[in-house]
Amino acid sequence: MIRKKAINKTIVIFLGIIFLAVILFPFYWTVFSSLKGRSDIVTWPPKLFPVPVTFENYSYILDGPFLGFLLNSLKVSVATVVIALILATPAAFAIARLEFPGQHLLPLIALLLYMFPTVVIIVPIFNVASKLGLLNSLGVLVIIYVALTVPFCMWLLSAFLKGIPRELEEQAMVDGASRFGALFRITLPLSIPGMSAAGLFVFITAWGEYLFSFLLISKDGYKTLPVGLNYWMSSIQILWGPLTAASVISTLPVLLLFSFLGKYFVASLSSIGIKG
Amino acid sequence: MNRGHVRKLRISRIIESDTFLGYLTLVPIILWVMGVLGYPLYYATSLSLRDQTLIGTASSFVGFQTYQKVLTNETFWIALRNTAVWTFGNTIVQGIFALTTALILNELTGWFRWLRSLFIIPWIVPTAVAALMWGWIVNPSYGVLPYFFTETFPLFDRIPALLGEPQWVMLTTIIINAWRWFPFGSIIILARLQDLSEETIEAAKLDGAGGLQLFLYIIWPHLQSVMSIFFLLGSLWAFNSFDTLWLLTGGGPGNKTTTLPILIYRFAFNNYQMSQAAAVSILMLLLLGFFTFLFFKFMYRPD
Repeated sequence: MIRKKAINKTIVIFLGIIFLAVILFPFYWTVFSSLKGRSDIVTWPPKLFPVPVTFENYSYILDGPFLGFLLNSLKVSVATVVIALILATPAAFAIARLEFPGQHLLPLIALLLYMFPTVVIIVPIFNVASKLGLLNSLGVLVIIYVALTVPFCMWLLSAFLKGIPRELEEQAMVDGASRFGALFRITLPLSIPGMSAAGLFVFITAWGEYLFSFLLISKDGYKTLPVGLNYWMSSIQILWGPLTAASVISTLPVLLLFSFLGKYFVASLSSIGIKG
Repeated sequence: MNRGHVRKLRISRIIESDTFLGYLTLVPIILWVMGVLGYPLYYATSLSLRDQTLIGTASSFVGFQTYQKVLTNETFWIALRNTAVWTFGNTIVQGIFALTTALILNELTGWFRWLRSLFIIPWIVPTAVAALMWGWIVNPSYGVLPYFFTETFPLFDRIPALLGEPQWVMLTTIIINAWRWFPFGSIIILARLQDLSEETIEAAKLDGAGGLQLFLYIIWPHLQSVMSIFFLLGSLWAFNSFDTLWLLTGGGPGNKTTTLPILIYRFAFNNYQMSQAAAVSILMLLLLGFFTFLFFKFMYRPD
């Protein structure tokens, strides 16, 4: 019986690792391609390993406009995170701690807004932005991204705050703190993991957003990374070496943030599953 | 003096009331979202009732004529059918991927736990990067996937251009899109699985339930609510998705992967038919609202 269990367990782990390898293969292949030299990258048969390893693709993109794209993406994403958190935090506290009519509908509305089909507003957004002279500006991207992320950000945060026991604040109020004092000194510090999760969600969304960036920005100097990647593709040829290198660096910031904050994010999302 | 004091008290009571504070925190969010999503929706509706072509040119009110034009356009119906196939296919493939991984991840305990976070990576990469990586892998002339299946494991004489041939492109793009989105499902399904108590499973096993019975009678009923939410979110997500298809195929070959979102973009920025693009947008929203309503009416069963 125990032996059978151990064998089953080994099979599952084995299956899991194979599945994982298949899922992650594209990353492996992109990283290895980016380390190949110009003559090694487009070959038949494809070379499975980058021998010799070279960083020429990376130095090639750094000489181009890559750093500009990266900086634009960083500016837009960080600004979006800051504004979204400033807007979402008070509302999330209100949902978690106050009682007001309509409050129970808010999570559902937030979830549905997260699924809003952004493509249906591209024509009006383009028209308004061009009338206001906001084409080719990073600010307009921030304004749009905040609207797209703030409802779900509020939802994630309020789900987290509901998990912090109210008694802690009540205790502080018994000890003489005001209602807001108790929120500020007790609950706010405890909610930092929840804020990180919500902030991570906003960052990932803003970092990867393609449609509006593609729609509203045409000058290289204002492009964010997802759209900037086109720089190494033309109708004549695709420079796979620089492209894969740019892809690797574009993915690093979200991977890095996720490796630090991912567990809070997963915990917050899990509440969708548990509540059913 | 006394009266003023009473008024001050009353005002402060209102200001400190839950209802006032609650709505106060929501006002900036509502204004922001209404400005960016609400106003454009109004704008799109009014645009769809006119005959605007290029921006800045004159247009006049034509009522439902634009809708008539769109609805008699063959491409609209092709796009609608493609959208249905794409949405349905994505929902099914994502569901299978997500459920399988969640069941496997649930068994990975102890030292293997850290593997769990690796499954989420496809979901956090930018879509543009994902599309590039896959385009590179399935490239018919020097991609690693065609090589793998024709030389390493010679199962086929020739791998078709998976993104270039009409009979393959839909399946390929569905799998790529499902690859990107399934981790979201894995996370919420896994969370629900861990909510299932060990005792229930042990008790079922003692009663002689095998693996399949365990799944059918214990695990699946427990997962039904979360699966239905994932089906809703996943199908809405696929229905609305623009960037994956745009970057992988641009809607081609021919109109083979032209879905409604791609049609909207093409009407607006390739054909400069702003009103027709707006009309398709409104039709798309109506469809979306209708299906979401059906879902909540018939499929959604909260515990």
